[in-house]
Amino acid sequence: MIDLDDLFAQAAQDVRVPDALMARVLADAAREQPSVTAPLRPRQPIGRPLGIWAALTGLFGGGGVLAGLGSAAVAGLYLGLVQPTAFASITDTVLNSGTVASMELMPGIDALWSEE
Amino acid sequence: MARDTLTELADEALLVLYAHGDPDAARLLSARLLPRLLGYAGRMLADRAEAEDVAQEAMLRLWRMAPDWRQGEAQVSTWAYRVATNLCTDRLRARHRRRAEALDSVPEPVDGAKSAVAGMIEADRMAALNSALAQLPDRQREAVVLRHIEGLTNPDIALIMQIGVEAVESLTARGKRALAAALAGKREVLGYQEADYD
Repeated sequence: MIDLDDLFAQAAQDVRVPDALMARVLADAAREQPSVTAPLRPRQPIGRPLGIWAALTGLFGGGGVLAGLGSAAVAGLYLGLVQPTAFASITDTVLNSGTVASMELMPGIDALWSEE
Repeated sequence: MARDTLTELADEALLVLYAHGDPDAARLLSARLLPRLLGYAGRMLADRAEAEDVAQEAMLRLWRMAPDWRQGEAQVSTWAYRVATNLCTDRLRARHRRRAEALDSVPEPVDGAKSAVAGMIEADRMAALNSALAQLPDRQREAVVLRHIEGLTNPDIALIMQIGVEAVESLTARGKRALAAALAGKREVLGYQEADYD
């Protein structure tokens, strides 16, 4: 009886790839291979230096974070220069008393600590 | 990555490395897949030049698909066989069309399959096997080659041929019987003695 399995096993080992074919396949592979750095490049056009705003937003983690920090800084400067009435007593206490041993920022809060 | 380490990686890992620019991954993947695709296409088409074109085209599509490869969804080899199968099917259909047109104009009642392999029949076992394979219907030949020569599992073949596993089993069984019948008249070519006759 014909041993087909023997023939099949021999056939499976009977393939030789011509060098020219392998060269063509590898040339295709080289031509089609994605560049390793292409997906990792920043979206900034190549050769153009980063602007100061791009550098700042990058440093602080984005434009939203930088806007928040800027708003807080402006608000602090405003409170320091204009000194609204609500804060005047505090600043007077600090500035007019010479040396400050202690300052009670929340007078009357002791009542909350004492137990009846 | 070190070449020794690369050789131990699965096909899928090599494909991912290729997509990320590894210079050695393509060479190793080609060394693994190209002989299998070339052998498969050669047995499907019985034409060396066409088989080389199919194998190269299947590998080219693999390179182009590499960046979009979804890991864990399929085996790379199964995917490549499926592409090669489709390419072979297209060529076989075109060949059948050309043959039908030629038969209309040329009054020669030749058996197409036998004619296609007539030049390949030599006094050796592989030529006899290839000749017998070429006489099988295309789908039977696909199933028999993938199962018994390429060594794929029936579920993988079902994926490649886009049919059910039971259909694969039926095709391989019928193909193998037809192959045995076709080779029965070539025992001497195959090196069998009279005592070995069934």
